[in-house]
Amino acid sequence: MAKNKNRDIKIIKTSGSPEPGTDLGEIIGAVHDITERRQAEEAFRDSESKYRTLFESSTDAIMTLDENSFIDCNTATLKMFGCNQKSEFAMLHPADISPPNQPDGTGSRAAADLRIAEAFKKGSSQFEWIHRRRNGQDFPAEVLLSALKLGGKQVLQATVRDITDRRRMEEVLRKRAHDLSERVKEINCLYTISDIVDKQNVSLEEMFQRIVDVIPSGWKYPEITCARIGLEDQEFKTKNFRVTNWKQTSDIIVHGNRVGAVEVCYLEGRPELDEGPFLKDERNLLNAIAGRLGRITERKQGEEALKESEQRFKAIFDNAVDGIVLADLENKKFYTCNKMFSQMLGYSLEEIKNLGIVDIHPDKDLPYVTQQFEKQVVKEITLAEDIPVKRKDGSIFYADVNSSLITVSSKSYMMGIFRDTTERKKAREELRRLSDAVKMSNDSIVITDVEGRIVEANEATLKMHGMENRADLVGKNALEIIAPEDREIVAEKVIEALAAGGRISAEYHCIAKDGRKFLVEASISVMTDRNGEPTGYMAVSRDISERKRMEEELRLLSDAVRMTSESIAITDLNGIIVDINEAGLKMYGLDDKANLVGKNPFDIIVPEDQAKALENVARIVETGSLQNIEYHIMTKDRRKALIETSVSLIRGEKGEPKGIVAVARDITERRRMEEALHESEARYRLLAENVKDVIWTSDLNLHLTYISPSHTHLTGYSVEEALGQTVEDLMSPASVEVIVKGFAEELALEERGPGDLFRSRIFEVELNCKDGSTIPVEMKATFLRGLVGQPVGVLGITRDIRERKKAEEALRHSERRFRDIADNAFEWIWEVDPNGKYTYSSPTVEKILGYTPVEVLERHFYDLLHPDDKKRVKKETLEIFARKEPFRELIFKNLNKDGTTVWLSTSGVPLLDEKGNLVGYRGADTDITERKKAEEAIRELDRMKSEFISDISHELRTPLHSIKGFGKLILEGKVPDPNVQREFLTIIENQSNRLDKLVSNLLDASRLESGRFSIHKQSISIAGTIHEAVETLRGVANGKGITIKEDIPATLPEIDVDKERLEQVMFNLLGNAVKFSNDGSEVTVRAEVREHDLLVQVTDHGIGIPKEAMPRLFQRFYRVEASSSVGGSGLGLYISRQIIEAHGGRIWVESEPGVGSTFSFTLPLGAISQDGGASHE
Amino acid sequence: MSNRILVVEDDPAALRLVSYTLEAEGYEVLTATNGLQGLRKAQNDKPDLVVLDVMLPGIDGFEICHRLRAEPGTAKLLIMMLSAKAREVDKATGLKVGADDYLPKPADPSDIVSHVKALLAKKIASPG
Repeated sequence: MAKNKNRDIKIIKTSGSPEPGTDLGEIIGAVHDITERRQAEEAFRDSESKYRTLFESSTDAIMTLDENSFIDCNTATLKMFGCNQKSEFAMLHPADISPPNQPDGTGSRAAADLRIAEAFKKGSSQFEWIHRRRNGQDFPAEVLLSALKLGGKQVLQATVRDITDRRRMEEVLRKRAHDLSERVKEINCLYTISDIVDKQNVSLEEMFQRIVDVIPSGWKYPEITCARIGLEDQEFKTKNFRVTNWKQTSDIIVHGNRVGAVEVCYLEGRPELDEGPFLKDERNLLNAIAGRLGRITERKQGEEALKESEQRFKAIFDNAVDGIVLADLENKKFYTCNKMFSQMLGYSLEEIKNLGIVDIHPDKDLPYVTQQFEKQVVKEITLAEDIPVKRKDGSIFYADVNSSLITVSSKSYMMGIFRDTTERKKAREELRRLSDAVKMSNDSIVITDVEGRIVEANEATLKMHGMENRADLVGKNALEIIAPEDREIVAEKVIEALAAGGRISAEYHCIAKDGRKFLVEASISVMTDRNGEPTGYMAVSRDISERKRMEEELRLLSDAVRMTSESIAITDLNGIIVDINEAGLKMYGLDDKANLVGKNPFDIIVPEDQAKALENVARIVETGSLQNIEYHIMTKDRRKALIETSVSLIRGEKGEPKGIVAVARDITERRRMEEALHESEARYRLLAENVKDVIWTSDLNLHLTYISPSHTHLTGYSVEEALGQTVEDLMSPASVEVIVKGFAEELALEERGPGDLFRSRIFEVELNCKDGSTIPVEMKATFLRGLVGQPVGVLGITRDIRERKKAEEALRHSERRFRDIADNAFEWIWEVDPNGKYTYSSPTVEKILGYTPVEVLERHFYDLLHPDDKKRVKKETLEIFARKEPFRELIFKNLNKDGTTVWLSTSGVPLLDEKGNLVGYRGADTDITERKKAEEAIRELDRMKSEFISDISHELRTPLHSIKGFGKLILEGKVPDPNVQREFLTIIENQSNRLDKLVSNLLDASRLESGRFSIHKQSISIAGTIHEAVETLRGVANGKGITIKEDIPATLPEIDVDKERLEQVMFNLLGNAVKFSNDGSEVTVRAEVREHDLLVQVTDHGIGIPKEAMPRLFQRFYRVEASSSVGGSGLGLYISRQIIEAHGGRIWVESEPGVGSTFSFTLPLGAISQDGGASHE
Repeated sequence: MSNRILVVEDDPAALRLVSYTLEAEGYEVLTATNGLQGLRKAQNDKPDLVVLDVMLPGIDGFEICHRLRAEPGTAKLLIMMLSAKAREVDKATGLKVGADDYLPKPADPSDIVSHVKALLAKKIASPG
């Protein structure tokens, strides 16, 4: 219905069937409602003021005019004509606001005047007119002229109404009316079609047939029109259908797909108008029909589906187990409900329709209930649980309500699905009773309602699915926790179960909360209430993924089991061995499995661990597996070994324990190594912590990663401080350079290839101390290496070398001193290694042995020994070395480089290292050759002395023997003959003399020795003395047949000599000559005066003196061997020498063995007065 | 038959003493004044006993004794050493080289006699 503002037009719409889009069903009518205007006119007539008001306020254009022109107008007029002011309007003639001519050709002015006159005459006039606005726009208007009195004057009131729209519409109407007639047929056609379509109980086929028969009636020449509707597999046509050349076709579209076509044909030729044989409108009609057909088909299909679903829904609705109710949202009253609902509540359907939401819930619960429903509406919750519902009889039951908004026929309803949970509640109670058992079960137990929604799930289920909250499961459909690929299977099985009414078992995969899939073995059964109605499902399942995996692995691993070096044994639940692999046999020390089967592995566990083992067997059954248990076992070869074993329970099909599998590994070595490592680590740690040296590690950028606490003692910096320092902070600049350079060199070495992985390098650097000083240290560093030997860091030890440096300095100093001493000492200072090879020799060696120190260094000590001593000394010395003893003043005979014998007195001390091993000897040798010689001489002298003594005693005894013997004989009267007596007495006298002389000589010798020997010189005649001596000995000489010849010049100068002593000399020489001469030979004495001295010589032709005896001839006690029997003290020549030399002379001998000897001495002439009287002390 | 005694002594006085003493006892006395002579006489003249001095020219008494003992002819010869070499070591040496007796000088003539007698008696007692 529309109401135009300017005109009161009511448009009434009538509908046959609502068809969107087509407007042919509209019947337009227009009714004028002029009620207001009439009232206005009356008001106007009644009162001028009212009139005025109305005049002005009227929305129509109202003006007043007389025969000539306008007098007045209202605002609406101005608006209508596009004028701004009334003054513009006044004085205008209607013709001024019109085009020159009206549509009928008459001039506007004339026509207007006529109308005016008519109005005045009749009182009113109503007509249509064409006006023109100020802007030149023409518009049709309806004009009503009315005569009235205004201000005493007869005027006309004109009401002008713009009828442009009306005209337009009238035009349209006219056109339409024109069309209408043409259209009636069409309309009829379509209407009929509509009618057909609207018939509810007509099938689509029948409909189409009827439609096709109606189609021709819509065409201009129905008698010769035929039509056909062709669908994919069907065809409907008019009886007279025939395809001709004059055909119209339009496609039938269903859901966007072309499913067929409508064809209309003229059976005979028709005149071709500009539109062809078919009118344009007929074309449109055909399209419309085709469209309709399409829509009909669609709709029909839709309807059918809808009907079907509607029926289904209706069935569900009607027969649902749950109560379903629809409530009108507006009045909150129930609109309809199903059987169940009414049953649940105890009300009939009619009664329900009078109830509202508020009526079916206990009052006290209403706020809660309403809130729940509202929440559902805004989808905050999906299910309102356990809503209390009041029955007709006042009893209360609980229901879960699922409510949602639905729209039916564009009306909104609240649909509520009520499920009595009372039974469920009971079932829940029962379940709760079971829940303990369920809870404890290791198997997963899930209870669902009949829809499959999880109602209850035990701990094991949560664990199995990796969930913590039961809430994660409850409410979910059980299928959700099953892997998608298995859901169908499970669902089928469930249906099976439902059908079978019993229990089914299945294996399927589940999904845990984290998405992990695992295989379960389940037993699903249907739970029923007392009546046998299913109340839900119970599924008991067990995660067999482990077991399945184990089985698989076990299969695959059977070979591995056989081959592995770990012992794998399978026992029964009591631990008795059922089977065992090779390695296990070895561990038991058996050869044949047969010996083992039936044995208890506990047999090899040491007694102290057996209790533990038994305990563990019990635990296994409980826990299913135990890992890394350690036992000590006694192996076949009586060795106590430590084994690590992991044990698992083997389960049967239903999960019951069937046996035990144990994997064992001998970890004795590993344990030992671990302990050793641990100990070693502890030791190293202790070392690192406590050793004075600083132990540190760094990365390859030379940043410290560890430094031991001793660093603080050394530098004053704490460990933390040190760890934060750079190389530059740690040491002096020069040191940094050294380190950096060295490090770079080492890295370069590494580049070239792996060398000695353990090599280290020593640096002497200066460390910075906290107090600003520096300390000299020695750093020994090596690379820390990774798995393939590549450097990953540096490890170093730093040692404070201040003391060492001091010691080095002291040592250097001391060494200098030593060197000075050694070089300048008289002793030869040396050092040898443990084998006696010289490692050091002072320069003195050259003086002593003729070798340079360098030459000596190439030799061993025994190389320098005299051959005589070499073997013995070498042996003895090495023995001393072995005993690591010092030696003192050992005397060896050495050999000088030039071959001479050198006697050395050597002392040495062993040099030991810290462990007490011999590293060499150091000592000094003194050249004692002189001393030795002296000692030798002394020894010789002593020997001679003792020989002399012996000889002397012999010499003394011999005459004594004679003296005493003869004396005795005589005294004992054993010599009767006087002549013999005389002879004997003479012998006695001679022997006495001999004794006397001997004693004198001895005394002389003694005096000589003690320095008390003195000579008293006086001037004497030598010749006389000599001669006297000769005479004295002539007697003895004659006795031996020896003649003494004198060859002395008559005149010998007088010399200052000690006469007695000279005599002694002469006696000695002559005596010797005679003694040693052969019988019958000659002894000659001669004297010769020479330039400066007197020479005296005594020559004999005796046995001579061997060459080697010559040097010693004039020494004390020397007696040439062969002469021992001849007597003589051995002192003679010695004394003679002393005497001659005391005089300043010389005495010597020339001799040839077997030929003879010549003894010569000289006495100096002239230098008499110097030595005269002096005693030689 | 009276025993023949060889006296080997180079000192005339001592020789005279021993010879006279032994002759006075009725022994036949042979003399030698040096070692070689003594050896020769010991081998050739078959004395019953030799009185041997040590300090002799040429070879000494010890050597002579040794040689006498070495010779089969004189090996069993009675030898009495009479010497001024009177130390213990000398005596020992003498006995070592095979002397039957050793008498140091100065020796009492009667001692000489008694020692000689003793030796001869021994020889008779155990001939061969």
